[in-house]
Order: sequence, then structure tokens, then C-alpha cells
Amino acid sequence: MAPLRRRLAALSLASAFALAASACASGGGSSESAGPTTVTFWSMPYWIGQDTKVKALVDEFNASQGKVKVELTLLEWKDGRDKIKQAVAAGKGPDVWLMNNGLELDYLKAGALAPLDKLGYTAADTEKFLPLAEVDEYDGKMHGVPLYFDVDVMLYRTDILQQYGIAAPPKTWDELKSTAATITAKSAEAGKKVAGWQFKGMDDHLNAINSTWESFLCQAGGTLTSPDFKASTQNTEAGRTAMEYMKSFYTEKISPVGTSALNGFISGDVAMFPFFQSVIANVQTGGAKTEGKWAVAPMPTGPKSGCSMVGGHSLVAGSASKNLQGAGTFMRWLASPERSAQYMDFHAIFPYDLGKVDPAVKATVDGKVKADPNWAPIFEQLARNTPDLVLQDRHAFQARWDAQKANIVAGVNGQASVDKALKTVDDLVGQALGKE
Amino acid sequence: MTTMTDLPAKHPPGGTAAGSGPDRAGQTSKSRRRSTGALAGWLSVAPALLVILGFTFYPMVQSMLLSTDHWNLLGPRTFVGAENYRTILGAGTFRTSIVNTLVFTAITIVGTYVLALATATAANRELASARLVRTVTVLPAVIPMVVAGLVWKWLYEPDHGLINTLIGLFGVDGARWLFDNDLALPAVAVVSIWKEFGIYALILLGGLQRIPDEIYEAATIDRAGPWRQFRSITLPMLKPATAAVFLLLLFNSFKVFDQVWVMTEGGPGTATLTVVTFIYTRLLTDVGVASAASVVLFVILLTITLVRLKLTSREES
Repeated sequence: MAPLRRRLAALSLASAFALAASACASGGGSSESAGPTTVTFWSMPYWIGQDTKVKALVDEFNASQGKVKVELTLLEWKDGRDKIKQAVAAGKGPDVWLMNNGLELDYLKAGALAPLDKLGYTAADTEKFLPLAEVDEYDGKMHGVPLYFDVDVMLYRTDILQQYGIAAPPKTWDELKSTAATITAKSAEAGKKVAGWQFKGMDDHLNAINSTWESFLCQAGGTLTSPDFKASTQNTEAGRTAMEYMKSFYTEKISPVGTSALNGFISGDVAMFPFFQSVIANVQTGGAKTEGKWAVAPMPTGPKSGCSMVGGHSLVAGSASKNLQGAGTFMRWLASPERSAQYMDFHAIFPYDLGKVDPAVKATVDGKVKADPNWAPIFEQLARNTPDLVLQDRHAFQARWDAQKANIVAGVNGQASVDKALKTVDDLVGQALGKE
Repeated sequence: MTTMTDLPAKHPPGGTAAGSGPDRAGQTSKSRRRSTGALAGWLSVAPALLVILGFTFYPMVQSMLLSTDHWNLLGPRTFVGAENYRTILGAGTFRTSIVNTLVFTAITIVGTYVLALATATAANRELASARLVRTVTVLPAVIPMVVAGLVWKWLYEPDHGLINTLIGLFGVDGARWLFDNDLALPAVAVVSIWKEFGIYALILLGGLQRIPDEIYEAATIDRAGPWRQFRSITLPMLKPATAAVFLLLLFNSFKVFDQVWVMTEGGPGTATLTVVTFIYTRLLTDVGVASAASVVLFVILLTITLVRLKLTSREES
């Protein structure tokens, strides 16, 4: 009776919205028949700034062949992941869906994701990806195909730095702080307050504190977990170094709590901020306010390194799908080098090794990199990063996400002491790790 | 007028009707009528009962069962006894959420009641403007809380929000409102007060209109001033309406979620983390912990309700 009980409970937890979405996916897991097989695909609009583009891609795939027909259910970012999890738990999940790079351990441990070899992928296929694609491995097998990668980089206003006599973006933590302090102080003297720096996440985009914090923790030499993923390791000297450094921007009035990093950057009220490079799409919406006035730089290096958090999304297939081959066919198309080269248009990082892809695709990617000077610092930052942080983050991911969102902000803005904030994160994440 | 005493007695006192033919027939017919009435009664409440059983009672029982399990929706569901309760009661975050909820409740109850009473008193006068007051104060209540939360989030925006822009006209820097650890919770409570006070004003207005004018006239003849009349007549006679308002405010405040999630997501830090926000953040990853927190919330509300009922029955007796 246990599975029935589980299913009933899952259903009772699912929202009406999720049920509606589930109903849309009633074709999920359809078996092979005479006509084209149907593959259900649930996705959030990952093509930043062009929400209809995912649908256009699906339409293009459907028109390109007659064996597999993909039915798209477009979800919203705010609750799309929740709806997918509820649906999968209730046995009504889609065949293919979008998941964070690094994948979610709950799905992996429950065997809910199909390994790529079951989808028709060969070793030759998966070897084409960048080494960072290791973040999608579990038990020695890849369970997701990266669509693109994101890395935390620094965006800076070239006009503001120039105005205050700063020739180049800061390269170290010390330079970052002195540059930011100079801009904040001089702009206040001039009567037009500009924040030299704003940590993304210490503003209206609370969730962003996770990537920001993990980048600075990494630069201070810290890790999220012990090597065996059994213990949370943020309450360490590296953690204190990172948090004290971030906190000093607020205690020394260099950065104002609450000022939107992105909106302020667009309006010229914030000179520099860190975030995933895909935020460029949002910066460009500023039009004349930002055109020709900003650039990207690698993250300033901390006491130990210049690493930063890796993000992005992968495609995964449900192991319960009755149409794994169809799912594989679609995934190979949507996450192909040709399509990933297109994703560079919204500043997503090409996930393949350029030396292993078709020369025509390589030429396309090279052309895009050459045309936009911001790609060079983005790839420089990419080269500094390893899969380690993402693989650690996979463990107790949601508990860490919530714990950091509450306690790192509290530690940085002074609501809690640095030691207490870090200890609380370790306690909360530790409890979740203990249950894995 | 016919009263009960005028009606013919069907069963004389002390009579043993059982056994006599016509009486037995009458009793059978009465019994049939009674059972038909009972059936009709059950049928009429059945839809509501089914809804309550299916959508309130069943999830409640499930929640209690889940509170003793460890489950992330996808993996196996394992029984862990009271561990989830130990986890949340030992966690500073959950305790913070309870304290925040109590503070939010106190601010909201006091703020809403005072504003609602003032509005009801103003609307109770026979002035042309009273109708306008009634309409205007109820308007915020028809706006969905999520929309209200978003609008107020923009109003509170520290750099270009309307509130700080207005404050800036006086040459003063406005606060960081939703990003200030001390101001964030009261700032969110203000939104609840603004949105809901109109509805409670209507309830109190109903109470005010039930107070007979003669009492006020007598008090005026006795030279009681407006304040004395308010203190000695209005407030005591508003007790039933006040009790209803208090209970509704209490429940709604304890369940606060929408505006918190839209405006602050429980932040900055844990400054606005309420019990339901705490539950929501754990719902899909640790169902047991979320359920245990729900049960604790249920027990708190049940206790308050029972205490309130006890006090009310004592007052009535």
C-alpha cells in the first residue's frame, strides 16, 4: 500500500495549477504507434528576453521530421520547477524537461532520470561536451545534456569608471573595494550618488545571493561541503573571510542595501555588480541608457582564486517515460551544437568543446566571439571554474538555497553576526545532508 | 396569535400511548416524518460535508501522518517519529518565524482595529460623505493581495519609490523599508492593514448600527461627553463585533503569506519570515518538516480559539 499512500499524498499536495499542467501532459509516456510518437516537453522560457522562442524551436523540430511529435508545456520560472516535481512525484511527469546544470539529487537518487545511454547517446556524443559537463554525471553516467552554461562575471559601467578616472576594471578584491569606494565617495561629493558596487542578491533579487555568495566563498578558498558531501563547510575561515569582506561594503557605506543592482546599473546608479553573464540580455533592454556604456570582466580574484559559480540548464528525460528513444531524438536536436550556437544570442555559453564539433558550427561560434568583445572575459572566467562547486551544491541543494538566502543576507547586512549566520547555514544544510 | 400552549397536546402528560392503534399509527407517521426530515437534512449538508471531508479533513489527517515521515516527494517515505518536530522546535529559523508571526499579528490587529473603528465611527454619521467613506475604504479589499503586494513593493522601493521620493521633497533621505531589518516587517504589516481595514470597518459599522440611539440620547441628557459615551457605551456594546473582528484578524494574520512572499520572500535575512513562509520553503524538499510546522501552527490556532471560546462562554454566563 505504500506506493498508493505516497501517490495519494503527492496528489493532495499538488496544486490545482499543477494538476492542470498534468492534464496538458496526458500524452506523456505515450507508447509507440503507427503515427509519430508523442514526446511531452515541459520547459521554462530559457531563451532570455524571447519567451516565444522555445515554442518556435519546438515547432521547428516538429516540422523537421515526422517520427517524433513534441508537445510543449511552457511553465513560468517562479514555480515551474515545483510543478514538474509535483507532477513527477504523482506519476504524471513529462518525458523531457529542463533542469539546472548539476541536476537535482532528489531525482537522481530516486532513479527518476534516465541515463543518456538509454536515450541513444554514445560515449562519442558525450565526449564532445566541455569538461564542465561532468556536473550532469551521477554514478558514472551522464543524466542530462547541457543546453548552455552560465558563469558569474562582473559587469561594469565603462562611462562611470572613466568619469572617475579609473582606467581598467578591478582585478582583485582589494582593487574592487577601493574602486567602488572611490566611485561612491566622489559621486556623493559631486551631488549624484552612484553606488560603486552592489552585490547581486543584497537587493530585490534575493535568490541571486546564492550564486554571489558561492562565488565569493570559492574565491576565499571555501567549499560548500566536505569531499564526501556529508558535512556543510561554510562556517570556516574562508567563509568568515568572504562574509566579512562582503559585509564591509555595507558597514563602510560603499554599497547601499536594497538598491537594485540591475536597475541601478541600467540607470547609472550602480557602477559594477556580479551576476551570471546571461544578465547581459537584461542590461541590453536599457537601450540608449546602456548602449556602449558597459562591459564584462572576469570576477576580481580573492585571497585564493578567481573562481565563480557555474549555472545554466540541461535537458533531462524521465526514467518513467515510455518513449525514451523519442525523448532522446528530441534532446539531441534541442541540445545539439547547432542549437547551442544559437543560444549564444542570449549570451549563453556554448557547452561543447570547439575542437570536437562540426567545422561549420565552430565557424559560427568563432564569428560570434569575434564580433562581441565581451565573450573573451566570459570564456576567461569559464576557464577558471571547475565542476566541484556545482557537484557540492547538488547535495542538500534546496536546503542550502533557502538557508543562504536567509542567513547570508542576515550576516552581510548585520542582522546576525558573521559567526551565527555561517553556523546557522551549516546547521540547516547539515540536517539536510544527514537525511540524504 | 397561536402559541405553543394553544396547540392540542398529542400525547397527554403521563399517558402511555404505546399499544393503542391510532396512537401507534401517529407515532409511525411521526417517526417516518422525522427520518425523512433527517434524510433531507443530511442530503442538504452532504455537499458541504463532502467538501470539508475531502479538502479540509483529509489533507489535515495526511499532514499529521506526513509530519512523522521523512519524504522529499520522489524518494522513499520513511517513518521518523517525532524527529521533524524536534528539528523545527530546535531550529532558530522556525522560532524566528513564530516570533515574526506574533509581531506581525500584533501590529496588524492593533492597526486594523483602530483604523476600522475610526472609519466605522465616521461612516456611522448621517453625513453625505459617509457613503463615500464606506466605498473608498472597501476598495483596497477587492484588489488581490499579490497585486497589492507588488504595488506596495514599488512604493517602498528605496531609490525611486513614491514614498521615498515624497520624503525626499523635504530634503530627507527615506528609509530602505523592505531592506531594513527593523522596518521590513512593519512595512509588510502596513499593506495588510491598508488592504483589509475596510472589510472590518463594515463589520464594526454593523455593530455600531445595532446600538440603540436612545442610549446615546440618555447619556447626552446625563451630560456625558463624546469620549465618555464612546468609552462607556460604544466600546462595551461593540464587544460581539469586536470579538468577531479579533478572531478573523488573528487567523488571517497567522496565515499571512502572499504579501510576504511577493514583497520580501521572508527577507531581508529572516526579518519577515512567517510560519507559513517557513512551511512553503520546505514543502517540496522536506514534506515531513513542512507538515510538522503546519501541525504546530494548527495547534497554536486551536489553542487560541479554545481559550477565546472559554472566555466568551464565561462572559456570557
